[in-house]
Amino acid sequence: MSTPPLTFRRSLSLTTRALFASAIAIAAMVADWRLGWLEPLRDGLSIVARPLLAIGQFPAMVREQFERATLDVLVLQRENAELRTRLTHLVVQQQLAQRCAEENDRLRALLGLSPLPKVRLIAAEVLFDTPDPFSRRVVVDRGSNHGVRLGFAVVDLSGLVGQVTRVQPLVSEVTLLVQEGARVPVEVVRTGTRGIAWGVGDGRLQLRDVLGEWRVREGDELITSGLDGLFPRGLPVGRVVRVEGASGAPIVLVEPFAAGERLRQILIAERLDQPGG
Amino acid sequence: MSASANQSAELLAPPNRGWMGVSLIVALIFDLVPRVWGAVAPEITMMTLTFWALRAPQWCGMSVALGAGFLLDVGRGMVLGQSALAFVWVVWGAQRWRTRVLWFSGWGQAAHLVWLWGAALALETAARAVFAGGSWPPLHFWVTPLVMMGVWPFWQWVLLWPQRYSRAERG
Repeated sequence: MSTPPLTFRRSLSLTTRALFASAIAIAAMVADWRLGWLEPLRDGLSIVARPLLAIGQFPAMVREQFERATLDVLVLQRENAELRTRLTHLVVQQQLAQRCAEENDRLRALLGLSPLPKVRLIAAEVLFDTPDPFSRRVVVDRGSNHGVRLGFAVVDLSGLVGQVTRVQPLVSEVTLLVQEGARVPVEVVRTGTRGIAWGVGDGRLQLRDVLGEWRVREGDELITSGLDGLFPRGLPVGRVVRVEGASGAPIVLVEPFAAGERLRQILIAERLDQPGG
Repeated sequence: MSASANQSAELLAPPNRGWMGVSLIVALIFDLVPRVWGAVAPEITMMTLTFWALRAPQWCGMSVALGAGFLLDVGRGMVLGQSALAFVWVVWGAQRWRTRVLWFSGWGQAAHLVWLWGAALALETAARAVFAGGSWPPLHFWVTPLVMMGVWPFWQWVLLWPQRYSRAERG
């Protein structure tokens, strides 16, 4: 038996090739998402993809520069004055808060409680929204070189914004709180009821998985509970806008504080303790 | 761009491999332009792959689809392989039905291709939901294939530009 000459050998049919290629694609999805094996491949490909990305961002950059160049001096002066006033207020408040924190530490020590974890903040600026139609993420200009690690909380002036979900040396990616499937352990300020806020995909969160009794009503404010060992406790999350259904397990909708306007300046918050410690 | 002429009947120079590369890179750049979240925009890379799978199936096969898909996934920060999967089946469909589709003019082709694109995007969404944790695009994302249909005659006209004989002769 001899193999047929090359001319007569037929290549695989179109459908077979397509099936083979999609097997590769699906294997890549599983390896990337479930197993996290493909970060080296991603880094390699991003050498090619990053210049394309940079060119794609060029128009937006030009527009921003133009807007900056044409800003009115008077507007800037007014804004500057407002910011100064606000800064003064904040500094005074911060000093008071500092004293409270010290006192709190002393009292906790007297009671024999373990000290509250400290928080380190990294200031960052949002570079752009990722053009992924499937999830709401932004890329910020601080990465592992600046001490950013996976899972850090991200806040802006109004409250919790999201969480760091991918870190590269110079940039990192933040998945927004309102992304469907995002979860954050929260606490109702008024009653101390603890649960988990889930992103439901329409810009709102839903309070679920409550421990014990549902003591929550419209207008209640939610803060992070810090039970995940990742987020600092007490970051403002949102306000309850609707409670419907049975009292046993009502549907509680939460409007995040950090909704709406475009993100620019943010802070990345690191909790300085060992998870679970 | 005249809407009247049957574009496939136009006399064309053979396709150019370099132009295929350039057009794919330009398409990737288009798709990587940052946009307001939820804004509907045509998937230009998908359309460009369709074009080349129709016009030059010997060059635009599964490996090109996979390569472009992986690049787009990395650039957009999506799950690796998501766009690649969609692109593979777009190329498959375009190659499979190319003799039929090429009989039609721009709008007729678009009316055929809109189903292919819609199906590929649906497949992408489903695969993402099954293999990579469900996260769904907003409902109006499904207008995308229609937008692509509207853009197709124009984009095809652009992509055919170096192949028109008048131009090829002059160059």
